[in-house]
Amino acid sequence: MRKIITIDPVTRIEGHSKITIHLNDNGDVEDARFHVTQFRGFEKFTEGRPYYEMPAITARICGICPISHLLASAKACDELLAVRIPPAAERLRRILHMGQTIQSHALSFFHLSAPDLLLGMDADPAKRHILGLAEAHPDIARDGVWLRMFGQQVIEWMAGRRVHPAWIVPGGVGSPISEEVRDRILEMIPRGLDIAERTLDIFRGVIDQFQREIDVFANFPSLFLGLTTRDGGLELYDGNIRITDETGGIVADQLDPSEYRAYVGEAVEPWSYLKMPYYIPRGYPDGIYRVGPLARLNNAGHCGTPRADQALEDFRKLSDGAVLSSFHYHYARLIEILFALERMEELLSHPDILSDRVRAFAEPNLGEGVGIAEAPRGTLIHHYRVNDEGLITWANLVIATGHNNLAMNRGITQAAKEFVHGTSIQEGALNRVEAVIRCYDPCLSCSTHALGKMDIQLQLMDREGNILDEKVR
Amino acid sequence: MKKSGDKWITAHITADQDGSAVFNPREYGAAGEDVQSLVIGWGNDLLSDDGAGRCVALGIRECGIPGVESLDVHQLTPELVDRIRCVSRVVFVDAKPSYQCPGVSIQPVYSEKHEGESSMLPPIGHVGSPEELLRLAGLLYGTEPEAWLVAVPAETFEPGGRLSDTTLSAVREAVNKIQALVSNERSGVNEP
Repeated sequence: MRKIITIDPVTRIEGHSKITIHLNDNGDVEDARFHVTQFRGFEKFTEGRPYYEMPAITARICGICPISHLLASAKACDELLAVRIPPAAERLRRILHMGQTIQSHALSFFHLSAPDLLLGMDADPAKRHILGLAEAHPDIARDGVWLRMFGQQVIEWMAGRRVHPAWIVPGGVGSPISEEVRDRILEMIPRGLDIAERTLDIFRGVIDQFQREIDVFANFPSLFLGLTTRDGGLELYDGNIRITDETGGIVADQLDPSEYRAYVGEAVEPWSYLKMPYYIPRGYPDGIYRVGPLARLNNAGHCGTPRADQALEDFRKLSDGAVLSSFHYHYARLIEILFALERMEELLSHPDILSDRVRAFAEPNLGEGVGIAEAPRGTLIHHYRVNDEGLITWANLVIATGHNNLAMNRGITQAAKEFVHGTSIQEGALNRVEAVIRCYDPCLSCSTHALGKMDIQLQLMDREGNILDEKVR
Repeated sequence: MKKSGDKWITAHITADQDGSAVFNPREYGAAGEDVQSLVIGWGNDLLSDDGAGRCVALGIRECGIPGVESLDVHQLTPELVDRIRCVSRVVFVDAKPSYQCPGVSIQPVYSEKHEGESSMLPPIGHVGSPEELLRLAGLLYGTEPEAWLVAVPAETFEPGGRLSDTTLSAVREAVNKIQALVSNERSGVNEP
């Protein structure tokens, strides 16, 4: 008799989801599914709203990465206006985006995943969280608190508030920054760089303890998709799409982001509100690809900043081709923190950074606009159409977590086959299956544009759908 | 002298609805040595009365009480411990359904030890509770300030940018009570 295990809710992620693990007649894992069970539908209820409201409205999709939504939305609006924003405005947008990348990655690594990595996957779950980490490794936890605080502080100083600022607007940004703000941020960056390098050393020191997890945490060939600079470097704000494969070879390069629908398809499965994007030329589901820090580093020929380039060189030693295990999203995330700090310092040191020319003004000149950015979790696309009055007639949002949906499903299947045995759920197995999902740092509120609890549910079910075991947290 | 609450409540709501950016840099990681009390009001100001805690925090800030810093935040996030560690008193302010909380209440808060808890309880992750933040401050910095939770009765949590009349009135009352609390006028308040 076929049986199913359900994990519901999945913990230490953003949003509501459950995992079901399906057993065959022999009690072996046959399949696993990551169900996203929340729905909100921003694309529909923004119809009829003025285009200039879209950045502020869509930023409300998420409290963790509102800056990414602001950016992608404002970039889509820039296209509607058909304007080129002032250079200082682009630099300021990039700096704000770096601040968000740092705070989001710090939250993911230190608060959500470090308890697994530093206390152990089998540690007492009553202690396996940030408070347990603070007890066992207070220095590391303090570093995490500081990095997250720094990223949030940059956002507040520049944009006026930490969550949902309205500073990024169509045509640029709302106001220039002061010399005082620039200098305050620059003063703090050296401490951030020290923390980032120190944490990379700590991570490199523990990864050998996780070889079994590395082997089965979504460790399979797939494509990798993301933005790169014109010369193939790491890019978080602009650029064109590059797609590489498991050998590290380039499958497609310099693809126009505004033509994403020519190469990204979206399949729908009846058991999840989260769509299943795939690379159209390879079909569904063979067109499986991953986005986010791991994909960005696999795609990038270089980072373009000295410390991050050195770290990327070490990262490349993990594999002759692309780094395939999703366990290494953590590693890639730490390198991106380093990169973001270095790039932020460069941008803040630009002589034009205090310019008061930070916004281009225009009325809508085009009926359609696409905005794209690399959110902390991966490629984020906002696509709008407007009528002659500038009112939204159609909107499509393709979110980073959605891109990774196929890979997350295949990843939990791989991990469940390794760690789940029998008809009950053991704590260590439960945590490892969840940890696969946490590697991607999914944001389900973003990906379904949804409202929901931060929970996870795991169910073990037989072939007839009877629940044999269930864990809810 | 206590200031009227009407002005800052109106200003806050207007600023939020027109979407204008407010450039208001303030030190976050290193408060001045003269700050002894920290007020943290949290909630979602797009869900009507859920924003009451933030409104109270803005009111306290507007009062300009010496030695008092006031933060209005969306959620209680872990990095707030970096501020909590710098003060001797923290006042958390949140909205609570009026059927659970008929009037403004002030209760002491103690750090949560997490001893003997069920493994199924989700601990602090993206957001935490006052108890967890105090515990984190204790573990990381060896300090756990005196802490209070001020609950403001809320009539509705439906989408909307305005407070109900009942909650607006309670916000004013809460501001006055917190002013008394941080000024060490402890009448009617239990010691933590």
